[in-house]
Amino acid sequence: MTAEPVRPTMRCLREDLALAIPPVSRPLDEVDHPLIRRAAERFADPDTPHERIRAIDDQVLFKVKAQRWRGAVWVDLDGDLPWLVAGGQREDGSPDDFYAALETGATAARARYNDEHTPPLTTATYIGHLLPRREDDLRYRAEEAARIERRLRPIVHDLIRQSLLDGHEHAVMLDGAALGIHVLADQGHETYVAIRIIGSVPKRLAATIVSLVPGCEADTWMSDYAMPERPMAPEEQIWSNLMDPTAAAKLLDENL
Amino acid sequence: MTTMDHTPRQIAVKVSPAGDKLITSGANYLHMSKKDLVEEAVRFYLDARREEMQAGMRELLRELDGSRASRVAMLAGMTREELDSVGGIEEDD
Repeated sequence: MTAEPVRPTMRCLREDLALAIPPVSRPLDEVDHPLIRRAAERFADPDTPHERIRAIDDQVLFKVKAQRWRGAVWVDLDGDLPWLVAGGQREDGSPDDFYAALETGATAARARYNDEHTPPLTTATYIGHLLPRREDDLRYRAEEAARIERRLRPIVHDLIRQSLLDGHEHAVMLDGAALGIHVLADQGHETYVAIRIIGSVPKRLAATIVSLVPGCEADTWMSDYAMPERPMAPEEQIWSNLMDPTAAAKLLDENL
Repeated sequence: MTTMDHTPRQIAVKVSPAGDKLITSGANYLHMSKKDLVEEAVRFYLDARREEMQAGMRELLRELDGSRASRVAMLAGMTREELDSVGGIEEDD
């Protein structure tokens, strides 16, 4: 089983490591930083033993060390996803030892929590403010969407080109769904394009695929429930439109 | 030209007793055969759902402006502002 890579939380990246948040096309687990690299190495093998930060008792945190850097990794047991939730440059034994500072901060956070909540925490520490939050979930989803989007555009354009060249439907498998495109060019007149998706595909993915066909009016996409040459398959959706022939020609030129 | 047509002229469709009762009384009410009512009703329903699907697609397509950011936000199920707040995306390809 391959372990999930260690991701820094957005807060850890910004505040602890003082790094700018990169575009979502660059996964946070690939950010070039000694602590992130070291954490990735340490957690790459699920069988590697880890040293727990004993002073923290409301969650299980593990130590990670790289040169002068110290960090704390928390494993989200739901997704089996390790997160770098805190980091700093303070060394063991120095007056501002990172793990001692982490404990001090977590003890103070527990006191604040108990002032504001009932029932109070019975643990000695509280690190809820360090754990992944909504912005981390958004970032994770956006990175996944960026990966899909990067794959989709060349796939859709290649299918259109292949169909333009031979007039037949061309299809690929896309994460368990079949995506087929059929373009019928009528010698300088209208060019008809049909997109066929077989499988359970979210509406947002279908809309993104449709939007990647160049030279089509967004308001004129038609949903078809029957095809003249073959019956519709279960879980199939068909979208058709007229395509600007110049956009089709341009797409072919891009391939030359 | 003579062709051999093996397609049956009629196909049985199974419905529940309640559905059959509804079709029978509906056909009587509209003075049409049960077969014609079912065929027309299915066609009518499919057209209605087709309009619904097209409207849904048009609504989603309105959120897409041709930019990579709009597509990524669409795929992630988030707003452009949310995408920008977590790093945004470059348009450089």
